[in-house]
Formats: sequence, structure tokens, C-alpha cells
Amino acid sequence: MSKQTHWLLSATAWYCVKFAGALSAAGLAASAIYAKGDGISSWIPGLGMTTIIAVAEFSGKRIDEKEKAIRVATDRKAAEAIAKAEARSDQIARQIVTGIIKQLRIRFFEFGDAPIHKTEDRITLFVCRERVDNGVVKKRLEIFARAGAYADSTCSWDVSDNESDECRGIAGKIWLKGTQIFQEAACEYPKDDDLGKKLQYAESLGISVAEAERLRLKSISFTGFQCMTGGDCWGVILVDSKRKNQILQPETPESPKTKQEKTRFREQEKLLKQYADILCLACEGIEL
Amino acid sequence: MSTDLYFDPDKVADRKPYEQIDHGWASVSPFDIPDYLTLGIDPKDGFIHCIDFHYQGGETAGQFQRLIDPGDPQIRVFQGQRSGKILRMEFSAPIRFEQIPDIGGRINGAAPSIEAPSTRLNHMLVGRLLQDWDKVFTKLDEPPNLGGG
Repeated sequence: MSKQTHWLLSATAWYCVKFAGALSAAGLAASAIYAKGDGISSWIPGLGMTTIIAVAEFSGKRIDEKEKAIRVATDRKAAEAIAKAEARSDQIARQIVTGIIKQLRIRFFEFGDAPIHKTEDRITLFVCRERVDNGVVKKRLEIFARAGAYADSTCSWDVSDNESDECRGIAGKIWLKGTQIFQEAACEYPKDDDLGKKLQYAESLGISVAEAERLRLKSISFTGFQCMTGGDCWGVILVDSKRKNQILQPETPESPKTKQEKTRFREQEKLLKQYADILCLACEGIEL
Repeated sequence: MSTDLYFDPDKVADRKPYEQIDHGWASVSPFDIPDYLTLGIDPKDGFIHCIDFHYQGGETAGQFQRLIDPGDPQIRVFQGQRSGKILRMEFSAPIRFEQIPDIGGRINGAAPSIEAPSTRLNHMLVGRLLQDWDKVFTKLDEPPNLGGG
């Protein structure tokens, strides 16, 4: 094979592989075998055939690339549309659930002539979300819907299925125990810088002083329970108030209740059971 | 043959157990309060061979079973996978209606030794409801006469 032929063959092979495909490279090899190195003229039929194959393969590749580009664009548009629809359905779900807990709030806190307090009585539905932190799955209760003050809050509480120390605040305690909890802070949060009182308040709620300082509503009475759907724990419902005797505690021999308080306590318990059933159904269709 | 009996929410509320915790109280979660029960009755003799409890929240029974005390008949309890609440009770030998309060007493007696608070409180409530089974259902002035037993 002459030097010229060698260069021509190498260049054609490179172009075939780069722009056309394996088929044209194979064609080139076949024409080399056919020509058996008998000068440039014997290469012409083989090279002609290889060129035709190469052009066909090149055109095919171009069409494939175009189709691929169209498919990617279509997939992206579809993904955007799905994300938009999911965001919209999440928003609608939040509106529905907020409507339910707003109604519960009114019925829970209004009793007789006593009106509900606009900013100090509140009900929050937390949703449990998971995230991976350094390869470890961590759970966190985030506000899904709130009726009452600071509805736009982004406050959240760490929870764990195994470690009680990792369950923060009353919501975390409810998550850990799986029971309904009635709790009162050891004292009101001080208006001055009384660190002792701050510590007392924070410890009784299972949080640090720093966490207590960050709370915008320093509630003193709480009740709540896990929200179950589809056999799993979806989140936590927390009722809290800054006012005393708004969330009644069970009667004990040490703290007997009046007849009116007993009636109210019973009403509150019944309401929580009724609305737990409603929220369970409402949250069932919400994908997290 | 099976019969559904619905609990009266007021009567159930009267029997809710409360336990003191730091700065407060713990009680049965609304999702661990049964709405109704189903009696599994043998149509031949009218004896009860199992009781199913129905709650909101859709929890299903796991493989885990609790054997309540060594008494007779043996009570096998199928608990919820997550909460440990009683979903089903099976008896080693069928029981008569009159034995239900005794079964309730045994469930209640076994409850304090259960470690998990939600499971313990649910067992207490179910025990109390069965102990007073003729008083806790809606629109039933007297125990149902289903024949046999």
C-alpha cells in the first residue's frame, strides 16, 4: 500500500467513525480487503460505496439528534407542568386543611360568652418531613397549616423515632409518646430578662432558652396528638394558648373542676376526636 | 356471623385513662379510641371467638401478638404496627357474652406492665370499655341478645 493510499484510508476511516458510524467504517475495511492494495484506482468502487453509507449514517444521526432534542424539550415541559400542578394541588390542600383547623379553633376556644382571642389562641397542623443529613435520615415537623397568630411562621421542630433528646418541644414530645398530651408551662415567659424564669419556662416545654426566645407567641397551655393517615403518622396537631384555662387539663383530686369546666373539658375532648377524624381523611390524599 | 357495635363517644370519654407526666397529662390519642367493634360469633352456638376494634387512621395489624396473662381462655391480641393499639382479640376457646367483662378486666390488669405509653393507654381504655360493655354502646339499653351463649 502506497503512502498516499495509507493516508487516504486513515483519513476516511477517521471521518467515517466520527461523523457517520461503525457501518461505514466496516464498509471501508471491506473495500480495503477487496482492493488488496492494488493502487488507488482499485479503491474507487469501495470508497464510493463507503461514502454513500457514510452519508446515509450521518443523516440518520442528525435526525436522531433532532428527535432527542425534541424529546428532551417535551420532557422538560411535561416535568414543569407536573411540578406546577403539584404545587397547585399542595396549595389547595393547605387551604382546605387550614379551613378545617380554623373552624376547630373557633369551636374549641369559644365557650359561652367568652370570645376567642385573635392572637393568643392557636391551632397548628405540623407535617413530618424527612431529609438526608450526612447520610442520616432526619425527621422534622414543619408547619403545614395554622389557624391563629403567625400563620406564616417557618418554625419547625426536630423529631426522632428513637432518641427522646432529639424530639424538641411539645410537638416533639407528642410525636415521641404517640399519646394525646395536656401540658402547661411551669410559668409565664418573663417580660424582663429574668433568666431563671426563662429557663423554667423553656425546660417545662422541652426546649432550650434560645429556642424559647425565638418563639413569637409564648404560649402557656397546650394539647395535641399525632395525626394518623393510611396507618402511618402524618404529623402532629397542636393546640396552644397564651391564656390560662383555655385548654383545660384533666380533673384531679388536687385540682377539682367546676361543673362548667367539666362540661367544657368534655366538649373540647369531643371536638378534638371529631376533627381528628376529619383531618385524617383530609390529609390522606396529600402527597408529601 | 359478625355483629358491629358502635361506641357512644360520651361513654367512651368517661372512661378515658389519664396518666401524669412532667408538667401535664397523657391520654389516649383520638386515633387510639375505637369507634366500634365487631364481634365474631359462631352461628352454631352463638359463642364469640374474636373481637375486632375499628379506629380512624387506617393502621393495620402487624405480626406482633401479645398474649394476655396465663388465664383461661387465652387471649391473643393483635396490635397496630405503629401505635400498638388493640386491633383484634382472639380467644383460645369461644366465650359467652357474660365473659366479656372478665376479658376486659384481664386486659386492664395487663395494661400497667406495658412500656409504650400509647399501647398502655389504649389497653386500659379497651379493658374499661369491655368491663362496662353493656353501658358503652350507642342506642343499646341492654346487652344485645344474639342467641346462644
